[in-house]
Amino acid sequence: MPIGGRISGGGGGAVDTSAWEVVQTWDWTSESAHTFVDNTAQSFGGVDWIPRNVTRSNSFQVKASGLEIGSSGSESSNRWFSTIQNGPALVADLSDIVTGYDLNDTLVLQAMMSPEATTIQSDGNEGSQYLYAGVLATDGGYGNSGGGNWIQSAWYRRLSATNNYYFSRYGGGATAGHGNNYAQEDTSGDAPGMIELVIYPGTGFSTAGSLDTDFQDPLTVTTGRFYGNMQTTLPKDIGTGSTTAPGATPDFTLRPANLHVGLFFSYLTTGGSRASEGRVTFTKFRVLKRK
Amino acid sequence: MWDQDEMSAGTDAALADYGAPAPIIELGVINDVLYLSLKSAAKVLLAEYSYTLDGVLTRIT
Repeated sequence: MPIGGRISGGGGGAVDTSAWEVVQTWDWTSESAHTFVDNTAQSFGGVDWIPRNVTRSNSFQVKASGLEIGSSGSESSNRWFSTIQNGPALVADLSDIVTGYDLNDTLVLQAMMSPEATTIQSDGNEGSQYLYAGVLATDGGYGNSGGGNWIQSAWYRRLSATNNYYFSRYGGGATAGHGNNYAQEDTSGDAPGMIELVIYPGTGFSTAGSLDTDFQDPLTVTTGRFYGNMQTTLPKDIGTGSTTAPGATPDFTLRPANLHVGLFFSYLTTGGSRASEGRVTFTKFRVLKRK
Repeated sequence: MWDQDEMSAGTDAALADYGAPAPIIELGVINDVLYLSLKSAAKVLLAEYSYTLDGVLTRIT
């Protein structure tokens, strides 16, 4: 579906009905081939992209089919969970893409992708193997003990089942239990082809996904549509039980000063042997801003 | 500690008790209790459960 369009006004002037401006699009199938080196930036479309946690990937490259990130049983388990942010991710500073945006803006990240499990072990430990792939909004932290300030809109699959899910999760903060919460919706079919993450900087976010094979207008996809906020200081049960006052200043952690965007894949093993493999191929990524 | 396996176990238990597919599942941990909301594709609440780390499942609604 195209963004916006034009209609004729009564006075003869054209009116732009599009609410969104496409700030930049990356067609990863047309970019120069490149194999990433951990923490070493590479410019695509005039923006520096930095690969994180490359040692936990078995493929982290741009090739003819797109941006491919994979992980297998040969690498250590990896994930984006609370302050554990060691899943392979390609990250860029959002300010390098959208110049001068502020708290009044609404920004949208969309990716076209093909995530898949390429090997599924059959030794009884499949239920402890989890794959995730999608887009991130993050403060740029990464590694085994990052800041815990991130949001993801993703594909999720547990390898003991064939179900594919739209998956929404935030990293949470320092309070116990933060980062556990997530929401999932069965795609009732294949892995999602399109993933969306809408950012209201400093306040909230919305995630969605679909089986579409090309970009859709922001906020029009209804499947996998979940909402959350970015504050991480206050307890999430504020206002219930004996906690009827905040008692702390809200800390909205993802702001224009620190917001980064990312494309990621992770393969988590929670127990038993680790002998499966998966990957994602991103064909396109774009950033939009509400006019 | 709640981790992916425990949350998956809670999901499996809730779905088994409900006895029918629930396309959307929202999971949240509050005070060491996992709360699960099962919803239809139209986002209509089908059932709510609590689940504890020792495997006790309780249907709330």
